[in-house]
Amino acid sequence: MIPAPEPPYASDGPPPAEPRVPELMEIYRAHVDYVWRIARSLGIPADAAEDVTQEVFLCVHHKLHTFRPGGSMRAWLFGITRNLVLHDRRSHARRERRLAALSQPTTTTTTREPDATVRVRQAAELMQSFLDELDLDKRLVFQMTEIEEMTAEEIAEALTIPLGTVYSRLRAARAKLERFRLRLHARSERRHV
Amino acid sequence: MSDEPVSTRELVAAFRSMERPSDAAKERMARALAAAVPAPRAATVIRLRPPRRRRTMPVGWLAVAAALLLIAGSSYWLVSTQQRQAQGPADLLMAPQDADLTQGTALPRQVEPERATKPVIEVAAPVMLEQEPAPEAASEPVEPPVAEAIVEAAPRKPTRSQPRPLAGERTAAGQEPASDPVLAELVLIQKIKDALDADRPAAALAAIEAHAREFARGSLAEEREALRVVALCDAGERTRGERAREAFLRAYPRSAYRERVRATCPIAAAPETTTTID
Repeated sequence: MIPAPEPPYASDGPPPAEPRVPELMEIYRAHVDYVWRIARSLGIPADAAEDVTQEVFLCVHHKLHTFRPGGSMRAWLFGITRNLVLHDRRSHARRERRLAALSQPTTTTTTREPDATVRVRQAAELMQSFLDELDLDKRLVFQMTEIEEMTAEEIAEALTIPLGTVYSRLRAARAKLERFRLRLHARSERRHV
Repeated sequence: MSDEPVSTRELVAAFRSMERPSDAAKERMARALAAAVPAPRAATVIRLRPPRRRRTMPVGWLAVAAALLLIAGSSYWLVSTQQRQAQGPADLLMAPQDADLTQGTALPRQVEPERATKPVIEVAAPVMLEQEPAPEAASEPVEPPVAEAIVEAAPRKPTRSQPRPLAGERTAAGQEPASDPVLAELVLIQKIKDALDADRPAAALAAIEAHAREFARGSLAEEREALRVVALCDAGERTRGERAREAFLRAYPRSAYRERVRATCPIAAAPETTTTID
């Protein structure tokens, strides 16, 4: 748990917007991993994802009053993250790094946990490789469904697409994943032959 | 990579555990966020808060000052009202009536509120009262309260329901403190009345002159001039009394003492109604 430091103006009395600070930190603690992964899915490299994630939550702080109560927080966060990434100057560098990451997938291990097992790390790298093979639309739907465990309604709200489109993209992504797994298995079989 | 096939769940779990910011990165972001979020607020607050304080603080102090002023004003009004009620000339004048009850003098019963500052005068004329007490009461059935108070017949005096607490003190006029101008004026009027009651018109005239010197335009000037007519007539100075009477009637044509003053000195014309000035 990350303690929220006391704001410097606390001695002057509670400002009108003070209740937003714990709410922001609550949102941050609940969704920082999600925002990080969405940023990474949108092409932000690992070494820049921290900055982007931080910018997203700063934007959340300023736009929190626009959040519609009852709406999906993750769908709202996705919109902010996507807009930030698309309008960021690092978008171009992100694409370059994405291409480089496809050729050298092991470079991402430098930022990962040192105690991760080799199998977990390799499985994660496989998933990253699979996601990189997907186009962005299917990748987002697959990631939101399988990894973030979002509902189809949330995904449709986040991507502003119909529910049917969500399901069709999800089916296509899962089919590709099955083929990816079969390809891996076949490669492993050939190695042992 | 091991040779076992990797399930989708395992891939997802592995990706979820690996593809996330490190704990150190999370802490860094949280600190940066907490430090960065108040910064724009503080910048805004530093500019806006002092004027806000300047706006709110005077409002609070103004409210407190207004409340204090209201309380002070109410207290002053209450105190002054009580003092006026306790030391008003009407009250002070009413007191000697009880003492004069035994002397058979006509005394005021009630004082009109708007004329409360003008005390009722008790003019002693026992001899005349004995002559015709009944026509006096009958001649003024519809007189205003002031008139009634001035020339009320003696038999009606006991109808007063509220005895005055200062009755005993007011009989001795010289003992009254004269710090208040109205009170001092009243003391002199009482002295005039006492002198007339004691059949000492010269002393009464001296007191009248003293009152005229000190309170030429006093609130009891009308009563003083009425008593002057009585004193002059009692002193046998009929000419001066008549002049004083005419002067009084000119100065106070609507006076409540008009008829009494007119009947005080029956020199020029025979009085149709013999009334007394009490």
